[in-house]
Amino acid sequence: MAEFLKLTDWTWQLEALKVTPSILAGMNKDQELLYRREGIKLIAEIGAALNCKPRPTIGVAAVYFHRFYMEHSFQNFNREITAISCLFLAGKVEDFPKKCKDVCAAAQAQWPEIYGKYHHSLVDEVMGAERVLLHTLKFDLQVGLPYDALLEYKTMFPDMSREQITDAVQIAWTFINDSIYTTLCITTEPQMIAIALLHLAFTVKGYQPVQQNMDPCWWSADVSNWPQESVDKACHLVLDFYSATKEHPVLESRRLTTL
Amino acid sequence: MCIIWISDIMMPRMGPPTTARQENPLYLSFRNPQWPANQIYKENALEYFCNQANTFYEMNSCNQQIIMQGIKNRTVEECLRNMQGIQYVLWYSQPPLFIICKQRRNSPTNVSPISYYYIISGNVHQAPDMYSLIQSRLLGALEPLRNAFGEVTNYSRYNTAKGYYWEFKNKPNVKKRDEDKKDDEEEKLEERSTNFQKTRTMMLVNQLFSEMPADEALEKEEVEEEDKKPEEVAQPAAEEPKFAEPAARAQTK
Amino acid sequence: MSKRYETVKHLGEGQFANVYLAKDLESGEMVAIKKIKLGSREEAKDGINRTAIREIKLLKEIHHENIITLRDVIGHRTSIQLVFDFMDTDLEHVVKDHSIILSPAHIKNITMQMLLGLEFLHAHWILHRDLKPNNLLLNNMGRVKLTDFGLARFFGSPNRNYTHQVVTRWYRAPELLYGARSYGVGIDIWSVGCIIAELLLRAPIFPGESDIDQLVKIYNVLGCPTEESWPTMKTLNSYVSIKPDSETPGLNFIFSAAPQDLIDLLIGMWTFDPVKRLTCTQSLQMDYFKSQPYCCLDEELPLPNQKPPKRTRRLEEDGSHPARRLIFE
Repeated sequence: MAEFLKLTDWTWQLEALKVTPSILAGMNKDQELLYRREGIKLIAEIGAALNCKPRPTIGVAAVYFHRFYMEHSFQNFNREITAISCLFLAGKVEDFPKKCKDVCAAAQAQWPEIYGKYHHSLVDEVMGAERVLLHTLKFDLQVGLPYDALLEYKTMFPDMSREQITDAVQIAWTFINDSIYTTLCITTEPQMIAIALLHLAFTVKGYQPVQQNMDPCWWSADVSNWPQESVDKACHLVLDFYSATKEHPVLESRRLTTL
Repeated sequence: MCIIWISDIMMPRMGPPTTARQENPLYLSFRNPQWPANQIYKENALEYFCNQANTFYEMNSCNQQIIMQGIKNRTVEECLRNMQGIQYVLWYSQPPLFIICKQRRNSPTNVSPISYYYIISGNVHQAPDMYSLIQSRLLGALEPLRNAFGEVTNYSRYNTAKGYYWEFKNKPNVKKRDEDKKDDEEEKLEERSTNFQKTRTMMLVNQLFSEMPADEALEKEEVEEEDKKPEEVAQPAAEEPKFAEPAARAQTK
Repeated sequence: MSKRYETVKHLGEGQFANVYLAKDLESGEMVAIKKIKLGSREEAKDGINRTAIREIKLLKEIHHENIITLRDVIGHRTSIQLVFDFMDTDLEHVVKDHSIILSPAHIKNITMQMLLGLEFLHAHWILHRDLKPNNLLLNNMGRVKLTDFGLARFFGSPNRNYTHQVVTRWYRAPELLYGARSYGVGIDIWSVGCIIAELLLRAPIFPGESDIDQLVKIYNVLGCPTEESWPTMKTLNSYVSIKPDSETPGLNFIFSAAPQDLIDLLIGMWTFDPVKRLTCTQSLQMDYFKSQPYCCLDEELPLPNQKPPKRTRRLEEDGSHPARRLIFE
């Protein structure tokens, strides 16, 4: 799907987001974004209930989820099942395995309105979904997350005070946590996500990472050909998410949105 | 002449200096005290040789590799044939003598022998090369000979009357004095010169006669002698060795 | 099986998978296909096996001459098939075949190939954790490849506790026997040392029958570690004080035909304190690899079951081949 719009094995140009399988099957862009956010919410909440952390299990599960729906549509594959299977698989891959029945039990306990209808067949559904997921992912299970790159940048700003940089990194960390709700992970490389969100953190707090006479694009040495505008675009994805969910947090009704 | 020849052989190539002599494998031997010599057979002679304490045995040889790897399902010879490197094989056996050959195997069909070792009654020695063997025998023969010559040279004497003779320290000396006494007595009684003197003088005179033929006969012996002397001196072309004139007339004493 | 691969025969069966010999119709090469069992409902309750997932994840990321190549993964509705290069045999078979004699040049080559593959893994922050002779595959070109990444994992994250029940006991480093929860590349290096010893002696050097017995066997050969040689030993979870049965005869005595530089390598690999143990890179720089006899060529490595030509015919008529080794458990 949209092979010609691929940048790498698992990243796509922004154009590709306009022609996802779901959109081609009749959904519109905003609806799809909503569906994605709901799936990620399930992953994040059920994961937290199982003691999974954003880094790495929840983060990896989210990446699997976004990638899956670049190949399949929400109409054909229920996001609530995909969400659990992503979490389940990510647990095994990252060596924090959770038994399938435990994941399902946590899901049904936390989100009874969503998962109640499956009763005892939830485990089988998840197993089946896992196989499809593996196949869709082409077994490329190793996923890099932005956190590693972010930590490296901690020491790259000698002009900033230690308190400032620590504060900025902390804020950027939170941005990365929240970025999983967006399609950032399928349009941008992990290192670039870290740069963009660190930049966002600097901007939000008004910090000056480099001196006045230096290149404001402090990432140029690591990432070439990435102008300020592109970085800003990436940041907007996260900011758009915040604004979209400010009034109405994801799944506030405890039910899935039906269209 | 003979003496110089011996020295040639025995000088620089005689043998290594004392320290190197101790490392020369020809002087070393090995024996396993816990293995009685009469229990070495054709089947286990090689095993006797392949002992860590044996300085002739290299621990990184093919034989040791086979032992270390515990290969038991084939004979040692068969294994060795397919390996490359330093190997030891039983070359000949006639108890109590066994010969082990150290060879380098380059391929299953090509070996280069390096040296041989023989086991006699449990003692292992390295077989010497031809050069060392001949040198050793020669030394054994010539050293006493040289010593003899050296010793004997001290006893030779020269006397104008008697010529060369041996003077040994013991009885022969006493004998000589008796002989001298006899000679003296005899001479006093009968001769004025010894046989040696007579013979030598005659030889010289004859030589002169042949070179200077006489024209006229001169009177007596004394005149002859007197005349002869200056003429002899005046013959620088003559290449005979000049004899010591006064000594020729000296008494034997 | 998929259309691209044509099954030739069944090679063996293990706990999680069946292995088949097949032909890649696209390239004409022989491959080994590991078909992961989904088994009964009971076994399948946790979906695709964790070990298989781990293996797939790692093998897809690493490519090196001395590491088994995962060529393809085929996902069916009911099974997953991993397609690997076909490897003719493994080191366990080589060691057990007494018609083969391993020369110093052979041993040096095998050691070098092992260390090169392992160095690559460690440089990519992966511990193998289960090195042993039957996890070192050998093809008919004499190439050695590490395999069986079922227990392998990424290491390096702080605050991660790992299980100490890894590595088949005979090849287990002492810190694992003492229940260490945090360990590093040293455990793989210890295993490499044990494998080299097995190439030299043609038998496992530390065949312990229990964890305690394993330590006793190690101490009988290497002597006991002291406070000085291994300061942190007593802080390990299951530390107990153990005395060896007997005096150690010394490595030079045990490996009588081995050159001193190889003994030095083994000493470095069997250092008790994991921090002082040699790393792969350090091992490859030891004099052993620079001295004569030099490594033989890969093609010169002896392979088991090499029958002379006139006998092969008889075997084929029989229809019985020597049992092909299962590549993965």
